[in-house]
Amino acid sequence: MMRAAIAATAILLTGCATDRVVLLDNEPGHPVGAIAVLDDERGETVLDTANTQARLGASGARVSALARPDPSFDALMATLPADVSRFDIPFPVGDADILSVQQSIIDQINSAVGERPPGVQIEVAGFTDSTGDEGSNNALSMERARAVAEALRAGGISIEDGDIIGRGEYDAQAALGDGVSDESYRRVTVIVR
Amino acid sequence: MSMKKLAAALAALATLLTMSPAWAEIGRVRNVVGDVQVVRGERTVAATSGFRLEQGDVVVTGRSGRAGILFLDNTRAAVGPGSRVSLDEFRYDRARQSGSFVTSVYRGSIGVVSGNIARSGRDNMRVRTPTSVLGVRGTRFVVEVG
Repeated sequence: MMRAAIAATAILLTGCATDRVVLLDNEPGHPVGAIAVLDDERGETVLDTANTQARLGASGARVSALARPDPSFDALMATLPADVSRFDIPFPVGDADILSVQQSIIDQINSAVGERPPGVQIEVAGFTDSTGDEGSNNALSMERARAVAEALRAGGISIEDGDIIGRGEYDAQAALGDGVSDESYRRVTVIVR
Repeated sequence: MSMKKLAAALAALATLLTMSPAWAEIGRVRNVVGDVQVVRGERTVAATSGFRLEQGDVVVTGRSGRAGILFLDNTRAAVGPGSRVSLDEFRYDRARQSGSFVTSVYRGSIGVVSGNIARSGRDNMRVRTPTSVLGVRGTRFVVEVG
């Protein structure tokens, strides 16, 4: 009885021997990335090659290569929702006035919404390049997002107020540094998810 | 307090203010196959497409249930049959697209394509299992428990 209890406790503590994490290939054109099994005592174990796995347990991670991905992964990954759809709308320097949101963009967004199951979320995010200061860029990016959201709403697309976002110059700063004029960041990105 | 420290404190405060509050939406259930339920505190509700998830929700699938979830940071997740997955922490600054994301897989399986939070800093996205903690550094992976 005592022995059984000790064995049961040991199983609880070590976890099930079948627990594992498997790093898969990324979608075409994107790097594989990595997964780390974090362990303060033994140090981390990093998987950075596609189709490698780490068996997980209290006694540490055991890494091995898979000859091929398990067929059950296909069924699981087939349940993933479709990736978000993105639509970029460019803006002139320092300006939040759109000349017009083209009907073709509205049509494309509507068609992306129609391809998805009910309960679609539409995010409208404004960006600026990294010229000018952070505060005014935050304000300008929000004005741009509001301008596009209003045009889309007028075109019959439903957008919640909380999904209208000003992302300022943060993306441009991270990619190009401060004070760089770059038209690719003077935009609003509409995300359908 | 030096100007530098004051600026740092103000920046931290601004980040806190723009972080989503605990009760706010963190993502939506998008695909549902079979029996999929969400446990929120004392309540359990059947999830349908468009169901809005919050931090602390636990997604539970039946023996042939499966669920696809899209999070606000564009992370995509698939929860396999017979699973119990807790969305422990999801803090996301939607302006800076950075934050932290912690999920626990108690049983079953989850497949993930990581998004902006994982990209925003080393191990900002973590997945816990009964024995281990995983730091997600991108991008597509599967975790199985039990």
